[in-house]
Amino acid sequence: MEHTKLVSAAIISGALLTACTTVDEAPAQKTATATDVVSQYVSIAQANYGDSLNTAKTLDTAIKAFLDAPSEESLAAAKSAWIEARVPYQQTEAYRFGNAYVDDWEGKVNAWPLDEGLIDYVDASYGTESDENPYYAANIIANPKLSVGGVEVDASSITPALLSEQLQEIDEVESNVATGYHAIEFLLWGQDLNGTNQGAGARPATDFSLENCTNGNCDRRREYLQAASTLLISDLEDIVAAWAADGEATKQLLAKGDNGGLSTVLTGMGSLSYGELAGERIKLGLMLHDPEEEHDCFADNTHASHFNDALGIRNIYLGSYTKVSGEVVDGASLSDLVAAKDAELDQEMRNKLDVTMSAMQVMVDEANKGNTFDVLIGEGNAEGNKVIQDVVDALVDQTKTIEKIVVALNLEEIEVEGSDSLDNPSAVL
Amino acid sequence: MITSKPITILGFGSLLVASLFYVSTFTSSEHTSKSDDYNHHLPAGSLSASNKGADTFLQPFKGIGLEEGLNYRVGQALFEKLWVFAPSSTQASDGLGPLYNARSCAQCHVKNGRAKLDFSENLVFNPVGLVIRLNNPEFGQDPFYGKQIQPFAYPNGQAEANLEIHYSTKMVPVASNTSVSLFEPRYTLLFPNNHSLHPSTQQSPRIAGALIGLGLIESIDDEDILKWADPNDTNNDGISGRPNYVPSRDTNSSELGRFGWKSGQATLAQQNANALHTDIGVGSKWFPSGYGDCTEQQTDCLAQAHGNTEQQDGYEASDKVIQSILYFTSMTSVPKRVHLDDKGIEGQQLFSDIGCADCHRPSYTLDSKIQALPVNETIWPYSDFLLHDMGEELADGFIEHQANGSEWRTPPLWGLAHQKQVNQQLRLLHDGRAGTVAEAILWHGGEARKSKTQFVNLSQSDQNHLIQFVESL
Repeated sequence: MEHTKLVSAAIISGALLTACTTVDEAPAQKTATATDVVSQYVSIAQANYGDSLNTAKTLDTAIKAFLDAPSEESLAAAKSAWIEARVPYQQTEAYRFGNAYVDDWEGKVNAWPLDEGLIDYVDASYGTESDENPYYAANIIANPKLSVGGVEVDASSITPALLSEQLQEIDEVESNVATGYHAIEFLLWGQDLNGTNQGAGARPATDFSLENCTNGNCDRRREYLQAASTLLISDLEDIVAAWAADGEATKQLLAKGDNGGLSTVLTGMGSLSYGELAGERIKLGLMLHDPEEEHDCFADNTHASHFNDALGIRNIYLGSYTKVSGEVVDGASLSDLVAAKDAELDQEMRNKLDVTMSAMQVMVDEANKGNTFDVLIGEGNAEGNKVIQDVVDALVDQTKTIEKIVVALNLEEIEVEGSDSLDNPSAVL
Repeated sequence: MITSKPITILGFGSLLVASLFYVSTFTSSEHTSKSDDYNHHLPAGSLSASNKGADTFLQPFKGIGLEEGLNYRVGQALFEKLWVFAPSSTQASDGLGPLYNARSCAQCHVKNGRAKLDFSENLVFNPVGLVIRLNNPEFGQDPFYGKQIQPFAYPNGQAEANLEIHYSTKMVPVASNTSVSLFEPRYTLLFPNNHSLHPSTQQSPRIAGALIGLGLIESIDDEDILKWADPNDTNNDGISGRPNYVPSRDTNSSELGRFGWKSGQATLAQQNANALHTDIGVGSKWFPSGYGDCTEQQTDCLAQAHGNTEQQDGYEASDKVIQSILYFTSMTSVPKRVHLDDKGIEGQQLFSDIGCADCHRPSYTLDSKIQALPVNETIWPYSDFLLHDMGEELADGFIEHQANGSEWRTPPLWGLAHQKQVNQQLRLLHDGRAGTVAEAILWHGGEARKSKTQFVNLSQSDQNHLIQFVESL
């Protein structure tokens, strides 16, 4: 917060200087240093993960209200709380890359794809030739005892510990298959069986009703939903603590020094823009025309997920994050630092971030008309495919400028994930 | 596409010529230059990648554009994708099993390197990344368990077997007054359903290898490999070098094998598709069954759901998925070598003098294309990609096409310098039994016995120099 005040003061004094046309003092914005930029990056992490935690708590309250009195209305309220909770969380994703601490942690809350068939019933007619699919009943909610990957699991009581410890250990799967936002999403929405047509998952509220239970095992389904929600809160509490002034993530970042810190910031921006978002999450789905090769498939919220990822990248560059409450956490920015070296380059970066946000906005607008991400990437939907391709192109284009910034700031050791064009061929020798 | 070579930038053009000379004459052991040839440092020529810590083996060829890089990254995403059981909402992700060894390619090929084995207390249990392959001379595979043992199964299903590896230690002398301990594995399969292997079924333990430079290996002309073959040892040097001709699903004929521990696959495309099917249980065009390695006798397995969908061309993995994984595996580069000091250069000379380079052939010159990328490079894999009898101690008694029970393909040595930072361990040879280069050398027998004996007879410092050279590759 200190920086917020400092910068606001600088802006105010700058305005006064202009007003008085006094020219014999150094311009105030010159004062942004690498240390300030990294410090503001930490401030945004604190605010952004803090928002993620708070919205998860709001979600938990809505889930409790829904479980207390399951109805289509209370289910809709829980769903809407989930969508709200995704807004701040997705903006934090630019912190994942470059910060090993965050990358190691994030699988607990955002792992994908989800082993939904391990969690609950899935549509029996889907993808099978047999009417009697034995797998239909092989899930945790239906089975107090089952074997997973050949290992016996006692799931008689569904607790956060069962989900996070026992099931995570099984199979040596690096990311948890049974926890996080997407597990909750699956429990609230159910499977989206509409393929690349319009429509999301449509689980009935009675799946959680003790009186009028549909699809069986409602008591255990309720337990699972509550356990996953409780676990999400405790995992987010861990990451909020890690970004405190003396937290582990903060310490690891500051230990890298000024240049190392700036490299981390740019690695996060570049890696999320390019390999992760443009590549893995968008181009892959577009290439395969695969409705579910991306995040938030049950809720059909993928467009918002991507939009907020891109917004998170922009936040970090501009050193400014708008909290859920509307409060702005503003401070020394990478943009200031770049502008001091090369004002044109800073302008180019800002422009490209804006182009990306516009392309993302077109996608969001389509989604709001019912043409969600899974519809837009559908085979034969040339117009929809173009909307998504524009997003990919904008992200790749902004990556190019991020790379220029790396060079401009003399941060040559940086490696944007999936991009090799920065390397100096003789550097190792 | 190819950017100007660093060699020319640095004015080392004359060394390029020197290195070509080296290629053509090194068998006669007349090479005496002590210079640390710059070109040696670029195992994939101008396409070589740089050091990128734990991600060193996850880099495409140097100089490809951002668009190509994105295709590479998309393929990598598929390589790392965790497959899930059918049925699920994620139609492109389901198809796992029903029986499987791993849920993604990357679980075994950790960071695109080797499998990690946890050697605590000299016991390894159901390792991810080490499989037991099965062959039966009469049936072609085990009649009940198929081509491979899968230690993991669908929910509430029974795995085929649990694998225990016990290691006993034996001391082997090296140089004067010193010895090295080797870890000798013993493999035990515990079958939960009392259905044992067919009596004449052969087993072979295989560790997942590092997947670097595979596109370059595929680009080597058959003739170039075959000119080193000496199946009947007509030159009487004790070294044969036999090609393995293996069935190709692409051409429906026999092709020169060059991938896998016994050169059991001719093409990268088939190697990938076979691994997807056998290890993860994901079917595709050439291996269409959605039940992975289930046999007709495994009726419980065949009663499970499969993930064949219209969206995936009727398979679990569509041709687009296969092509994208192929792009990733064929476009992965090889990292630059570590700089050699004078002692390492001496080690390089010794490597050649005691005959290591007779099988670990240093280089090839390519004039080819990988995907759309023209490749005109000298590459340095240090392998002849041929089969050699490696002696009784390494023999698995497993016949794979023309490869007999004691023959193995010479594995390439490139990338060894970076192996530890990628996988935190070396785990060399076909089953990862060797934890160091010295251990790996001391396991050599058969055609390599003479070279191994010469190594043992070297002074300790000469041995260290040779190892230093190998660890610089």
